[in-house]
Amino acid sequence: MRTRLALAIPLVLAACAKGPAGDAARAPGGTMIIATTGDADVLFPPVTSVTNGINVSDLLFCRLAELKLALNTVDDAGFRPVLARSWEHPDSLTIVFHLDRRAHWQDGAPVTAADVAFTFGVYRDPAVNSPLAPFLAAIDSVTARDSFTVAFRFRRWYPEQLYDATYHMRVLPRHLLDTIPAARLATAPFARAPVGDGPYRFVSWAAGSEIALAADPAWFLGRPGLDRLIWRVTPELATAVSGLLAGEADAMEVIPARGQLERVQQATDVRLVPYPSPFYAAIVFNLRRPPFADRDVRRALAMAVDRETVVRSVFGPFAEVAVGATSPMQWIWSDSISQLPFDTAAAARLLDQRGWRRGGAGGLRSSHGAPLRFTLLVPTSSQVRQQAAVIVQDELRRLGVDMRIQPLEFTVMERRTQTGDFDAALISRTIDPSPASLLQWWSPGAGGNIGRYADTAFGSLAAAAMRARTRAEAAPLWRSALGRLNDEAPAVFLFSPRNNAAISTRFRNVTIRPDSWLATVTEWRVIEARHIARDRGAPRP
Amino acid sequence: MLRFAARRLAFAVVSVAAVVFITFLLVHAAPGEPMLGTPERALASPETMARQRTLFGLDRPLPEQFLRYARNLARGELGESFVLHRPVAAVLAEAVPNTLLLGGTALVASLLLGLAIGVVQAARHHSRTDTLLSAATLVLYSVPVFWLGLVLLLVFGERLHWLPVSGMTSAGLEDRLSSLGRAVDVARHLVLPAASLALVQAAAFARFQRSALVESLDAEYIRAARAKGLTERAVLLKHALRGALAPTLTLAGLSVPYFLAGSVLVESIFGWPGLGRVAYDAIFARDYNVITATALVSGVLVAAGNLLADVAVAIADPRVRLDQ
Amino acid sequence: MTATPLVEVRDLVTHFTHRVGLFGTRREVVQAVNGVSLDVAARETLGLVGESGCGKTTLGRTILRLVARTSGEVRFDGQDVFALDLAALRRMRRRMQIIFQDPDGSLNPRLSIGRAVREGIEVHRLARGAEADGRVEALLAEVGLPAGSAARYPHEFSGGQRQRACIARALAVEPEFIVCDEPVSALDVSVQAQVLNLLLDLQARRGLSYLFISHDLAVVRHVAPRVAVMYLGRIVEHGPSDGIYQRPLHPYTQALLTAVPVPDPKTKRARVVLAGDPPSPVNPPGGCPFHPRCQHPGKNESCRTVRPELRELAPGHQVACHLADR
Repeated sequence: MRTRLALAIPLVLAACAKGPAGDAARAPGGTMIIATTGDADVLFPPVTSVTNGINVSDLLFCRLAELKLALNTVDDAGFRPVLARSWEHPDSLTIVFHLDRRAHWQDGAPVTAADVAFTFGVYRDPAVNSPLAPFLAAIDSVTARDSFTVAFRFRRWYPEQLYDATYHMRVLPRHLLDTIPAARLATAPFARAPVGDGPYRFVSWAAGSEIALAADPAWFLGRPGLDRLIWRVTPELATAVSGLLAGEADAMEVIPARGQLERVQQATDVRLVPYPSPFYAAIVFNLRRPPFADRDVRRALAMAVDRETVVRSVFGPFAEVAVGATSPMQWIWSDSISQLPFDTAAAARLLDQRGWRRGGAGGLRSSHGAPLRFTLLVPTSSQVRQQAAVIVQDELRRLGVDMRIQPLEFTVMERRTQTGDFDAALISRTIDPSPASLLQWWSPGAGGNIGRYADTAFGSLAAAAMRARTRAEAAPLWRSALGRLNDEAPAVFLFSPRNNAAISTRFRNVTIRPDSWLATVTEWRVIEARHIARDRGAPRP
Repeated sequence: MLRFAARRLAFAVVSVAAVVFITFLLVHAAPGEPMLGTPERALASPETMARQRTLFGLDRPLPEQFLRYARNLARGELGESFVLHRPVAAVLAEAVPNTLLLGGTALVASLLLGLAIGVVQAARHHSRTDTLLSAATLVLYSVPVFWLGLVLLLVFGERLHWLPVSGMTSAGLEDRLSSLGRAVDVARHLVLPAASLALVQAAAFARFQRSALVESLDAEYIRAARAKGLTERAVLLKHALRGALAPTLTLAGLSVPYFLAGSVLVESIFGWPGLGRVAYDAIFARDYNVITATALVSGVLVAAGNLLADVAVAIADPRVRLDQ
Repeated sequence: MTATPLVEVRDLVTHFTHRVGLFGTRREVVQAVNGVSLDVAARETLGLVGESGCGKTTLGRTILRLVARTSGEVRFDGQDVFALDLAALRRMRRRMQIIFQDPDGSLNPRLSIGRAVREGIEVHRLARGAEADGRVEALLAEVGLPAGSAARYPHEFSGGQRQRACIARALAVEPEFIVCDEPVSALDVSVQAQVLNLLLDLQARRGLSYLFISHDLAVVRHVAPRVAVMYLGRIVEHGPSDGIYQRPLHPYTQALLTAVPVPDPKTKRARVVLAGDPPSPVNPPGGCPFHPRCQHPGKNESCRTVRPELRELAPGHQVACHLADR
């Protein structure tokens, strides 16, 4: 069936190509259907929080500049122009962007400096309550110098100014939004049928079912290669993979389960495209509780876990052992970062020294009659983490440590870790391309620092890294900070999964930027010989 | 009749109100809180979360929250979804028709199929056909809906390519289809999820119908009908089935909760954008207003199912006096 | 007896097989009717008397082929009832009907009385449309139901009225022969006589034949000139009602009669007590089936070992008892 179709299509195309309509300028086109396990929440970038909502709105709304594939967040050379044709640094606290005059909203209005200033106001407005607002804290003001020139004024100098100015905000159309009260922006009709300035325009959204976008043929940076992008919500992963294998869908951002990955590996029409994931998983210790206040106990536990075994038995080849609180997506990832070795003898020695001696029932260690025992929280939503917890439990038992596993529903676990009501938790962190995200999790007083880790040496290393002028200067400092974190062991950094997108072999020119997998989708193409029925569906005007 | 209807309606309203009240209490008493943002993504700071809580009134005492909810409900307002940033009524208005289509189709299909199997079995009870069908329905009845759905999907969707595996429509082809073509397209997407829901319940109906029929075939009036010279078919369908229909209709009315619960699983498997999915996502995200509203709608549907079954039974059996 | 009886029953045997035990693996044979022969002449009523469980109801149903026979034969107007194909049987059903003991259970509660009556008319294509409606009305009037009954449902009637409706339903197909299976025993005493008189009137007017089944000899004597007494699936005494009533020959008949109130106190009758329950038809006793309960002073070894055949001791009066003529 499939073979016959594949044979038939080139013939049809060849026949068409002879006609006057078959001119090469119309060669691009095609439809990509993306299976996703979750719907979007809302298509209004300041408040969009769900992965699929972010994916869709990223294609509707542009940034001033985009990170290149290498995700170099420090140097200006790491960025390519989008809405901003160019930019300059007149002084250490200012960046001036010159907008591309060709850029326009999909209703025809030009994208102006006023739009950029308005956007900054929206992101910062407490009534909008954007979760991204804290990332803009270092920006003092955004002002329009003229229609196409906009100046960002910073409170202090730091190397990632350009990153913060461009990465967090997607420019919004002031002329369509400025009459809506800030508190109603997220619920306004615009947020469910937005008008953007990106390569794709909004077509339709059937809640829980489907979101369709169509290429804007007049996009100022050139018509996108694919005419239509359609997201299909398929909550059950196995079904989504079936749809992919049956040819109902063309692509998935990530296939998170090993069993499903193996199904795709056997398919001929779909291939896996691996890319570094933006997350890592770690067992975080609560330093407020007695055994974990002791650095040596934490180090001993970290040395007792054979992370290689954990990763291979849970993921097979589809993940890396974490070198620290980072992922291969970040440019600071390196094998040279110092880590504690897997050394059970050293771990046992350390515990003996600290007074945790074997002798209790079942060879358990105890100190002054108290057994070395703690409870690890694991979310029921993650099979992977539950499997990993069981292996760690077994390894710690051999050391004489009794770790109990408590699976909890995600929201419940989140509540417990936020309020400090836990011994240890197996968490997963999604990180930005910028290494500054380290500070959100591990600096004192940061909201994400659930274990209350506080270390001046780490703090000063990170601060120095933040001040470094170039990536080359910053990298060793960040790596030292990560090494210090490993040495202090406020957590056991277990793994960073390797993401695998599944993409039909109908598509060529596929590249993936790890923090935003469709960032380069305008370059993707359907192989012409493999057009199918939906590729010929006329996009709506 | 009017008094009966009024009393049943009052009872339904009270039970739905109780469902809403209990659901409200349970969701607020359950551990965890609305996912205002996704903390694992490092996005929402504690200050953002606190402000969000204030915006949604979640920082007020529970009785005050309930009173406000009840007052809004009395005005017909279901509130706003924390996660989707839109009125709950709009969310339900999209999801409920889809679930009614799926659940209604499954209910009717399972009833017809169950009746047919039950009649065939009763017509030749204790025959080999009867025994085989009994075994088949018992197996089917014991199958988990989730598993059945996945098997149907693998066999008829992925392997045989006979039917689409997910969604309600064929993505990317809508604008090339006529309105009839779209109806056919939806129907094709409906087959597998409806079958997953219907087959298990059809087995239940069949087992029920068979025993009711066999019992009613033993009635004296069946012998009287035979003595009149009616064909066996007429005896079975006109006399015995009519007598044995009432318990099955009642069961059908009572099966509405099964179809609602089943739709949570089936809608997830087949990507059917219905109420079950909305409820599932809302529970996971602790989207209180949406959870309570789905409980409200489910309560109304269950009450309506019971009411309809009562009416159907009354039509089938003149002895049931609605004013008693 | 007339030359060609309307209904002839010869050596009729009806056994039921039940599966018993937890898994239905053991079979049990109920010998409900065990070799019965009798005739019903045109326009005649034959009474059939016996305790409950003696097989009289099964006998009535087997005659109408509502129940499968095991052996023997039934002829209706000379035709072998069990030889008919299903279509012919359904045609034959027009000529022979049944009235059940329990008017509640024998009327479909979901059918109006009118439809229940009309159904028979339609099945046999006796009338259509308004003519059928007229017939239904006439039949209901004939059995003494008030006007407007046709649209009403069984639960809206009293027991006696329901039995009248059953009679109308049976009459609807214009039968020649009706099995009346205890037609009045479920009714109040006050209405029993009315229904009995209705049956007698109808017989006189329409020339019907009845097989009148009852456990009550007094009722049977009122309607049937001839009576057969049944015990454990067999006829044990058979003859003119008056003869049997005044001079019962079988010890079982004698015992049944002592239970009947005597209208004339001068009639002296030796009191014979019927002790215990009848034996199970699954495992009937050998010899005379009545011997375990028989209180005849002359009971002997042959009663226990040899089953007595029916013998004619008076003209038209037969009895199956070794001791009867002594």
